Amino acid sequence: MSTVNNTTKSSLRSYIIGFVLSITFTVIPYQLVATQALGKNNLVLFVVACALIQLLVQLKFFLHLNFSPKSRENLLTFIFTAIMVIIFVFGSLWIMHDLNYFMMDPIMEQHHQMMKK
Amino acid sequence: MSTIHSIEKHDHHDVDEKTNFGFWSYIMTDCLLFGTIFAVYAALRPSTFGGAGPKELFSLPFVLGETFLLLTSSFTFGLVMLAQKENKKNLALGLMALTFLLGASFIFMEVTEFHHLIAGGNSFEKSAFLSGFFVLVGTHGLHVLCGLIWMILLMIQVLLRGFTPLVTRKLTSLSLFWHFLDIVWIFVFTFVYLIGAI
Amino acid sequence: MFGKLSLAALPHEPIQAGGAASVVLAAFTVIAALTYFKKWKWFWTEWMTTTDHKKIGIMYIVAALIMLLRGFGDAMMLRAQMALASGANHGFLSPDHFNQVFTAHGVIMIFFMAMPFMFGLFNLVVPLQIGARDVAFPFLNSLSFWLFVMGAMLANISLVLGEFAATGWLAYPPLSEINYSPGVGVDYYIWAIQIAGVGSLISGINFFVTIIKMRCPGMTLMRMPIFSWTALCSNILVMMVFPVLTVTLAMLFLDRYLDFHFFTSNLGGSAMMYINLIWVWGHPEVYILILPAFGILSEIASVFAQKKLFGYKSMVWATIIITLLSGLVWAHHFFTMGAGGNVNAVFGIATMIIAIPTGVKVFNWLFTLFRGRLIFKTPLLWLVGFILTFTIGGMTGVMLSVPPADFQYHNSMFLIAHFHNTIIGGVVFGYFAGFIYWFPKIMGFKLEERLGKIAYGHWIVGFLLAFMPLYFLGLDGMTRRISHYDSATGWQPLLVVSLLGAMMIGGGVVFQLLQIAYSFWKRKEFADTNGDPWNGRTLEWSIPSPPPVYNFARIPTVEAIDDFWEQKQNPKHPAHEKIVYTDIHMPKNSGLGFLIAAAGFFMCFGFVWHITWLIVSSLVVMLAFIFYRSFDQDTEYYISAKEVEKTEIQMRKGEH
Repeated sequence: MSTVNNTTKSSLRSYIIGFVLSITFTVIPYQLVATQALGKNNLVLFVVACALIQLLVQLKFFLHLNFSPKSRENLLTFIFTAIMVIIFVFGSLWIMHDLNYFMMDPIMEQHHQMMKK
Repeated sequence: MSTIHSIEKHDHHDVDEKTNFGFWSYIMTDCLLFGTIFAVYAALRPSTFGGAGPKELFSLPFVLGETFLLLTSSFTFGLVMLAQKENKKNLALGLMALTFLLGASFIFMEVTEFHHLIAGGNSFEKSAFLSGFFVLVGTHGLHVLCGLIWMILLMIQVLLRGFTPLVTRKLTSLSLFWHFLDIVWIFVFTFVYLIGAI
Repeated sequence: MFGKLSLAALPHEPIQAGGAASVVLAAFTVIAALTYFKKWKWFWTEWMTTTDHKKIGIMYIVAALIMLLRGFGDAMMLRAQMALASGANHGFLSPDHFNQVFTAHGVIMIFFMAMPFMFGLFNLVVPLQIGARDVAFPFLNSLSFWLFVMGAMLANISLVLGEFAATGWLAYPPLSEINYSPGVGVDYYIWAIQIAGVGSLISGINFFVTIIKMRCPGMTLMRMPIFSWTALCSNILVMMVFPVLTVTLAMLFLDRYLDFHFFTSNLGGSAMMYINLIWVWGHPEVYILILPAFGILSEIASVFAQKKLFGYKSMVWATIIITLLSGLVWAHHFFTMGAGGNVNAVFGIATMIIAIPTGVKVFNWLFTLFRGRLIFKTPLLWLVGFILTFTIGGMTGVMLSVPPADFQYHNSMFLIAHFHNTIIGGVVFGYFAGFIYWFPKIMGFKLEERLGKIAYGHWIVGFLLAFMPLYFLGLDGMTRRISHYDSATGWQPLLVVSLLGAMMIGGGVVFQLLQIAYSFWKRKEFADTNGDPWNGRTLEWSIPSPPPVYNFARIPTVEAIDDFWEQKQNPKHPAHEKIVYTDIHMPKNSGLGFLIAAAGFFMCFGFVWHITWLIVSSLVVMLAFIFYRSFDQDTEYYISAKEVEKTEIQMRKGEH
């Protein structure tokens, strides 16, 4: 019975660490954006980095994804999925950006720029 | 042909493995689903057609509140699984009810936000940007809603049947689903709201 | 009360009325026959509620063959129209009707003929090849099948009530948006594909888990039959790309119904985003279809050359590489639509690279046949026909992959010829070969050879006559999807040849149907007595034909690739040890798969015709069924060891 308790204790610790880290990596980027503490580009990079870190935190501490044999199939399918998502998302955005650039109507574009000001 | 009659061991471990891996695979397809919606949102975000954009429309404190609700509910559901491992039925049910309340509050806040936008003349039919926003956040919200309904079904099953292998398998699937939804929210929070405000 | 539905939805033009009549007649015949022969209970308990992968596989293929006839009918109409409509003659199809026919032709052939044929073959063969008793999720298997059926029914009911989309099989906006397609056609399109698409996605997950988790002991991935490998990769692709299709069509739905602006031409929408996303799905889709055909042909090359498959490892790696690359080439479908040189170059090069692993496969098949002791039965003929035609199709694919050249070929008949070349020469020939090869395993008797050869002859000659001219017409400037052309173009003679080719294919289909009917009539004569009619190499041939419901009395242990072949050569193989019979647990039948899908049908029909009460009530009913299933604990039953022993003795009586 005590083995069960020990496993539960370490699991509980795992969830608590995950929770605290997630809050941290939520609050910090939030504060920086709310106060516009960094330059625009740096802010975007920082915020995205925090998101990726929080992703890893939750994958490890909440979803128990790791390199152990038991978890390996899940990890491999996740990595494959992540690669496909990256290819489809960034591939699509690259194509759309390219299309917009080459198919942009100069008059409409001028109109948009004027409306923005 | 000699025959020894024996019950073939109904290997719960095998069934658990199949179901858990199957549900994880479904979650992977859901990643593709959300990935596509994110791509559309990212491509159409500049297309406000002269209307309001993310900076004008989103309230950061409000969204922070939503985020805390969902994050905490992901944590409490983790605790549900710990309670299940220790066979503590009442604790598990209590934690499930707490998770449900946190999730339902999240939905309530989101519906309020949608209503506020629509009433303020910023409904989904006003621009491609708004269409993208409503579908991205709305699809996530729909998933959360389905999770809440599923949670009620499982609370009833835990109450009536306890932690049978079947019920435990379903709980494990729901916990995967619920954690996954909070992970998707990280990206919604970051790319829609935080970056929208930069 | 009935939304947009009224009596005006019924067809009011002779050809459309003919189409409607045939659908009604077909449905009526089935219902009448079941009633007259008092077979409803049998149909419900044996077929509608089955969770047995073998029966589900049969139903998928029967449905696919029926839809092949419908899709072929559409093709005949198109070819006939093209052969006639030169100059003063405007043929017999109005332009709008012509548009609906080529749209329906594409949608039906891809979604309701090729996909179900493929899932049917997966269902029939994969569990048997990997030594499993069923798929991972038998209930979901049933649900997937009925979701597909409901999608097919939606597509066909559009012949009776309303219209179908007239937008081409991919329904590009802005044409598919509500302002340019205000009728119900595009809505039928969206919902038929969405409901079938959910079924496909669930099946993808099902077979992925089955292959990863349920292989028999000793069957490492590198000992798995090559068809199961291609099934694995195909299902991985299904899982990755069907969500993209679902999202894209859902967004089109939102544009049409609720005035969203994803792809509209105003308020910031981007039609190109749709085209981009639909091809993110669309290109992998064709690889989803072709990979299993490659697998079937690898199996057949080996068995009918009586030789080990040449280069098994390289075949596996080629399959994996093709799977990965297929997700990197989608923009080659819209080279001409405004992207710059960099984008086009990257996707063009990726497309060319995909030809390399495909070429590896072709050479491996040839090396397998080389110096083999060839058995010239019909499956081998289909293989040879495939290698010939698919190679031509592949080479024209490389021509198309060069972006500057594609500016000439795009949307010409050259493109039509290319993809029919690869889909018919590749997918259809491959699936037909698999159908004949595995038919005896499932049905217990072989298909008659001579009729099979005659059918093949009609198909290969008919195919070449029907499609080779289209390459030249494309190079001559003829575009696709035109229902009439100027006589000065001089296109008519080749189009007449094409029509003759199509009619020959029709003859081939007739002979295939005759072959099935005749073989069924003479089934005792053609019976497969020992489960191994082709002297096969893989596990499915080690059990009786048709297999018992549990497939394997004892789960086999495997020691090598083509383990069944090893078993036959080696009397000391563990498979020859005495079987210790055990109780076997099997999934119970369930009507909920059918019921959930049927509720889905009514919900989708309600969406098409904007009948709000139908949408809401169907959704409620569907949820009720799902909740019921969630609470259902009684989903399995046991076959006693005694029963298993009795069945095995009975079934193997004919063997020596």
